[in-house]
Amino acid sequence: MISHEPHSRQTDVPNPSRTGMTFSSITADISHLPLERPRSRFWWTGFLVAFAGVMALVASIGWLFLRGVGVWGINMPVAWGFAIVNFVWWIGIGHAGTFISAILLLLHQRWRTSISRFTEAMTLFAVACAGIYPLLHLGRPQFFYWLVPYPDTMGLWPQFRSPLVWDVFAVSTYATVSLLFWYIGLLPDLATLRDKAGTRLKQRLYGLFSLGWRGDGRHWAHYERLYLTLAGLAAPLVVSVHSIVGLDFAVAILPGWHSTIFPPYFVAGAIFSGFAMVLTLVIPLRRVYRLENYITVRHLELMAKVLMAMGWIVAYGYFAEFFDAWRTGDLYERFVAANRATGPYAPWFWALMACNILAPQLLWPRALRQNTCVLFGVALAVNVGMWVERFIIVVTSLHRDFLPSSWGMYHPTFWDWTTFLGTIGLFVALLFLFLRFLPAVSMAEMRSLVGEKETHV
Amino acid sequence: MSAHCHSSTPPAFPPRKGNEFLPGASHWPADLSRREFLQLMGASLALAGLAGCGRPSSEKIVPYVRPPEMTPSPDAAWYATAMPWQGYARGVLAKSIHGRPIKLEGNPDHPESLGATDAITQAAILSLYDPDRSPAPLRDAQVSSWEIFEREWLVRHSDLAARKGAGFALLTEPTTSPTLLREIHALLDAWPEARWFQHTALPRYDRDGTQDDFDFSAPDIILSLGADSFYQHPAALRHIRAFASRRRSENNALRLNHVFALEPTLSLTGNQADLRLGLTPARIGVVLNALSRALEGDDLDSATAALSEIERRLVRECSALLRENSRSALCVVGPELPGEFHAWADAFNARFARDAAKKKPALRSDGDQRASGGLGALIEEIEAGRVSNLCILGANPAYTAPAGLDVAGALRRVAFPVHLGEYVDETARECAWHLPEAHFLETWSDLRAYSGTATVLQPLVEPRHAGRSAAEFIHTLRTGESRSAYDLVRETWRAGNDSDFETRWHGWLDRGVIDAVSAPRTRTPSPTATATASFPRFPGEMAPRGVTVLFRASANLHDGRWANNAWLQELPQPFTALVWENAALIDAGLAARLSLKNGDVISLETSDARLEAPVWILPGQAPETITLPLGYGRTHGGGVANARGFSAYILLGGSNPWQRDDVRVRRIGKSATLVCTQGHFTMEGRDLARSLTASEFAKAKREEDPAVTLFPAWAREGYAWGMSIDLGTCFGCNACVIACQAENNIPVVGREQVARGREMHWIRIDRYFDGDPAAPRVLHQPIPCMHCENAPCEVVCPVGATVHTSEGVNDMVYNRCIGTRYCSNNCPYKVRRFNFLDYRAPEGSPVYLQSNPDVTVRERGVMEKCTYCTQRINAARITAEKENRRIRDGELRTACQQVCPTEAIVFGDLNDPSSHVTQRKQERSSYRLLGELNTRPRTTYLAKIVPDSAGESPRAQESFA
Amino acid sequence: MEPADNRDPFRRPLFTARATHAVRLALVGLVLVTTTAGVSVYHYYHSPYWSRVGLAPDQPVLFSHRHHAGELRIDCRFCHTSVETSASAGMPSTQTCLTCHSQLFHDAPMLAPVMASAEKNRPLAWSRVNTLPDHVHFNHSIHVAKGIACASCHGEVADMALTAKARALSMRECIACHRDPAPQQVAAGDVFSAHPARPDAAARLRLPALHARPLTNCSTCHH
Repeated sequence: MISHEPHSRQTDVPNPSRTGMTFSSITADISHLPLERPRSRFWWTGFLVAFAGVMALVASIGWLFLRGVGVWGINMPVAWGFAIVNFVWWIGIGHAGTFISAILLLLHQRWRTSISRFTEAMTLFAVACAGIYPLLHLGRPQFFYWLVPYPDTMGLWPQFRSPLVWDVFAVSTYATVSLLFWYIGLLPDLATLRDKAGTRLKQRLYGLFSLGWRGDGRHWAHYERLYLTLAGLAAPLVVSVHSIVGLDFAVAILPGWHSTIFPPYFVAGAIFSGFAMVLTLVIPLRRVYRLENYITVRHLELMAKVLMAMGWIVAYGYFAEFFDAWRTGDLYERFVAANRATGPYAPWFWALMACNILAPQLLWPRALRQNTCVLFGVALAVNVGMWVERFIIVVTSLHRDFLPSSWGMYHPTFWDWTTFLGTIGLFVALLFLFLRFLPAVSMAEMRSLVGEKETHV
Repeated sequence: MSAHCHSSTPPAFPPRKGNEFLPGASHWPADLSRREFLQLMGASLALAGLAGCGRPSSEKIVPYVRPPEMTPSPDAAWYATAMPWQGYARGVLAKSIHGRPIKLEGNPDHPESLGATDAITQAAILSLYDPDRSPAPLRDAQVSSWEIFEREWLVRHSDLAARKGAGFALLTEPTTSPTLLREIHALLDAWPEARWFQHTALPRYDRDGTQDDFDFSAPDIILSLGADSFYQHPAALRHIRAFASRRRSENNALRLNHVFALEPTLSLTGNQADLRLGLTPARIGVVLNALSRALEGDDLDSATAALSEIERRLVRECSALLRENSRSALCVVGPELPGEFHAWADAFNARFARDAAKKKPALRSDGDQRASGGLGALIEEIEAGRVSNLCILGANPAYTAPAGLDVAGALRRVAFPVHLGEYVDETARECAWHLPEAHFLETWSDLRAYSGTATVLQPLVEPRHAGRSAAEFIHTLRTGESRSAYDLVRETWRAGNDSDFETRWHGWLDRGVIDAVSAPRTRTPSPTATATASFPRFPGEMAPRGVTVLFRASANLHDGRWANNAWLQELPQPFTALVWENAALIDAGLAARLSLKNGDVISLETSDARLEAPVWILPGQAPETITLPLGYGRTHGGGVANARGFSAYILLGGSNPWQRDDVRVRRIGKSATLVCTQGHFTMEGRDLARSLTASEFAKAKREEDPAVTLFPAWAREGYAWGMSIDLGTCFGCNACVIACQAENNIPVVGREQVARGREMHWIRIDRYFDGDPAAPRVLHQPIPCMHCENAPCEVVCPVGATVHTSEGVNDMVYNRCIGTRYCSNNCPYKVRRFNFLDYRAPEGSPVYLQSNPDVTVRERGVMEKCTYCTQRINAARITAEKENRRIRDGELRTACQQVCPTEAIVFGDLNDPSSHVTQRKQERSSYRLLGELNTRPRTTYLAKIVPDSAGESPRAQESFA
Repeated sequence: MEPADNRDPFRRPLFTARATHAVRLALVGLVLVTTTAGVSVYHYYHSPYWSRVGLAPDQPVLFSHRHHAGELRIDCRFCHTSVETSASAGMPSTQTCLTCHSQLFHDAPMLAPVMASAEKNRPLAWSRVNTLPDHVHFNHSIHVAKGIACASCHGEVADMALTAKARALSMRECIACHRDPAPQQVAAGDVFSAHPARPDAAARLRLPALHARPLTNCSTCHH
């Protein structure tokens, strides 16, 4: 839908004639963030708060390994709880980055340029947070490696029919490719930082990681080819990862999970939450770090539109679930549907509807789309909504399934919450480190845009 | 991770440890400091990575120096003995491995077992290893010894002998043990002035020297008046076995009997009725008056004028059936109901029962002339200052005494009170001396079954502590010197059996019953009512005096003596599924009037006592009644028992101790959380626990084979294990649950973990309220693993820790499981159990001595579930393979099947067309649970079949939850 | 301006040629190290070092199977009495030793521990040579009954002066035989012999029947 964007490409990018951007000004504006480190007080407070979260995470994990997964609220019948909810949520958030950088790149959406670097970083950190959970939620995490096929002394292999095994491959591949994609993209900028760095140490460090980039023609040729290839590789992964996460549920026979709509509906949901998270992070940051010229209102508005579009796909997913329950006439499916809307978890369900379906509708009027406060609020709501969606899927399906005798409730414990908040802390902490040491916007790509401009002129 | 014994050393009992079973045993140790926490945390983080990296370390093998003469097979040895049950014998076969008793099974040769047992018998083995059992004699709470006691006693002995035993009193529980009675009588002969009192906390089953003996298989009509003949009665196992033979279809043929029940509170027996009314005793009288008139030929309408619709229906159906003179009928009455009901039943049985009801001389010593009465009489004696030496055997009056009897006070007035018991309980603390009593698996003794058959109880192990048997103790009291229980028992039975006594003796020990010797004829039964006698009338229902409070034995803890048994504490109670505590069972109408919901606390006040109890609304409870289960609220019962629920004994009293009308009931605004394992008691209109009327059954067709599947079918060669469970005869006694726990080393998780929904029972009994809300019926449905042929759990396990065997069993491989719990999410029957925390007993705990070495003890983070007792399958297979034959049908039984009193559970080879289980699955009532999912369960059910009349009542639509 | 350039630190090259070279090597090395690490871990766990094969642990008595089972041809079952009847083969009691050694070499220093055990009634504590994990339930009697020779798991014990572990007894080995046990069967008479002979065609016909399908079920060993 992006490619049907009516506005001309020129207005999609920072307009040098308006902002008086030149190669040097771009380089200066962006590189001074890691090199001169402005807004130091903001950075330190933010980072320390986040770091406290990291400590909470470490403590929670220690306690967990010491006592077992029983420290969480999980039980029979609700054997999966926050761990899986958070895993799916983080993985979802991790989708925006690759979507923006890879798919929009292939679709020649130039406006992606000023946000791609940042969202890629966000993706990596989100996937890192997500990756923790499947490990933690194991009853015997010390044997996680049994999920990986390797020649053991027992002559055993993983059970390849299980979607949990597919997860291992899907997520690890996605993480690897995203990392490579991000790092390759960084190379020219690392070189720039190397050249502008004030101290020998910084020069050496940036130099080391820029792998001797000198920016001559051959470098650029290889770079462009490799970058495009990786984009081509990454694009299908955007779809595959969350499809497989969706299959984790769809493969089960549990009413509320056993549904063919899951893979596409999960992918849409993932991009939905991903864009929401980008907005939640970008809106304050562009203000704090004075990046309004680079991440313009226009960018925000475009993302808002993506948000709305995805919102409608997700809404369709919700509708389809209820429609199936009604049409199939399956006793248990119908019960689950009714139980979600009216059962003990009904408040969660209606909160979900408010956050994911109603809130995005605010963005119809252009004025509101361009109002950063409103946009920020909506994005925040969608973040919450998408987390609640996963909670609804995991918990309400499990807590009342086939035999009423084994129905139960799920009550998250203190440690459920600290683990969740802990990963949020980790995520934010990593973002702050990223802002401090690496360019948040791709200088190379911005320059290339301006270059185009000048040739146009 | 396993209880498997590596060495062949004889078992040594580890030192006494703290309370293994305390809920919260699985908890954070309070005394763990921050530093330790951090150390442990670091260690755990490191270990998580390093697990399995070290080389397997070498162990030691420690053989005998001199092997015992008769080395029992290293695998298993069985001994026939009996468990004391309300003073009667319940025959058991005890399994011993490496000298450790690990399991009790029913003795097929024993008339009151017939191969079956009940939940309490199954749990008894755990009490043998109870770390809270009294370890040593105590003198004024100081550790002492038998020798010191004997020396101290010698002084008093000579003195008592001189006074012909004046001032000596003995308090025992009623017993049938010939040896114990012989010793008591010998003592009374030696000391004519000595007094013998008996105390039992629960009602007696004998009246004026006789006890009823019923045959439940013969009569076509059974009328139960507040009786629990199938669970609490000493002959319950025989009763339910006979009854069940009339409630199941065999080769699709039925011989259904008709059962009516009038009872104030829902009992496992009453719930078997086709028409059951929950009525106060007074109201039952009114209904019986109407029934009497109807049977005496009065016009039905006038007879039943005063009755409600459903009551009228009962009288109509019952009298109609009874008038068909071809039918024989039986009326049973609960011992808690007053005498007039028993008189009515006698008249009824004289008329209709034919041979189904007999009166036999009472066997238990309650009615023994040489006894001088009960606890009340004893306390009078004490108050009168006529008791200087008191010996209490087994009884625990300080806990079970009714209100108004100040036992503690009385004991303080006795110069020399002595207590012999397994625990340092409430009574022991009031006595100068406490002496440890031997567990019934630790000593020689003998007992009679309710039917009169005697059994020699033989020990499997040396007493863990300095325990002695009651007979030994009394012998010491009388003679001042000690003699072994072995000699005493043999002496008893040698009398009259001198001819080749040794052979007969060994025969008795082998079979577990003393056949040759019949029950003693103490007195001839008093003449029973004659067939012509008319029915006695009950006083009409007087104006409602407010709430009626009823007292009943707890189904799990009985009179409270089992309160320290964690298996029984964590066993879901019948109908309520409550665990670890009792609740005041209240009728819905009364609850509504007092605006009470489950868990709200009420206060019950009488003139002399006050009690606070949380309520639980129980459908089927008589209007305006509250039932208080006895046996909870122990103060010195042990770490597991103490402070669980409330003790209702303090409210007992009055002319009829088992019910009171003078209790003031108020709601006090407080509320407590009650923990139960099942939160939802209706089927939500789903076809789960099926029930058919006889004519529906006649029309029914065999369930067709399941739908097609994309998965390849399993080859059906070799054995194909399968199970069939008969919902018609399962009456919810829970025996299978504990049997499974004992066989499979299933841990106890404690109240707090159950509250979180983490109970570990491999087989659970689902309970659904069904039928006419005015006369609800509870359907019981045991749920083990279904061992699906298309098992949803198998496809989703990422490591193949749960897989299908060539014999159709769904294996659970603990040592491969990494604990993703996906299998449980995908199990539609939710039969899987997970070790959320480390639920194992602490290292070195004596309870490990009970563990079955053939079953792995599961560690933290591992999934587990019913395995069809795969260890038994393997054992049977190895035996058969060694003899180059197939496993015979019936040779191999699962723990739940073996224990079941009604033979509701049948397990076997589906490839053998003649096997019992194949036959069962041929019944037209056979069906698959959630069959529409096409999981193809190997465990299937037989629908409950009821007479057409029972089907009349509309199916309940509203929720009972 | 050459000298000025040299004085300006920013004109000097950021990395020396050697440093660059080192980084390049490091990148290659990284790949090599990870792969070799993987390979060596694999070999460690499949090595006899890990499974202690060929290792004879210290024993309280210098007992020689070569002497007793090999030279004196004492039947395995003389000491391991319950091998045919129960899960565990059984370890000989001190008294079993004394059946001979109360007469023979009873004052030999080598036998001092045995005599001490008999006098003090203190059992000998032997070191286990063949161990299976606790969650494996192995039954000797059925293997023996089905014609699986002692030697096929315990090796040529009759040639061992000091008893050592002959095979890794890893699950891989168990499974291999459980998949196709027939080749391991020997004639009933050969089960306890020191060097069991492969049965000839005639003997094959008399071997006990095998029902191999259940043997690869997990619950055959794990329950």
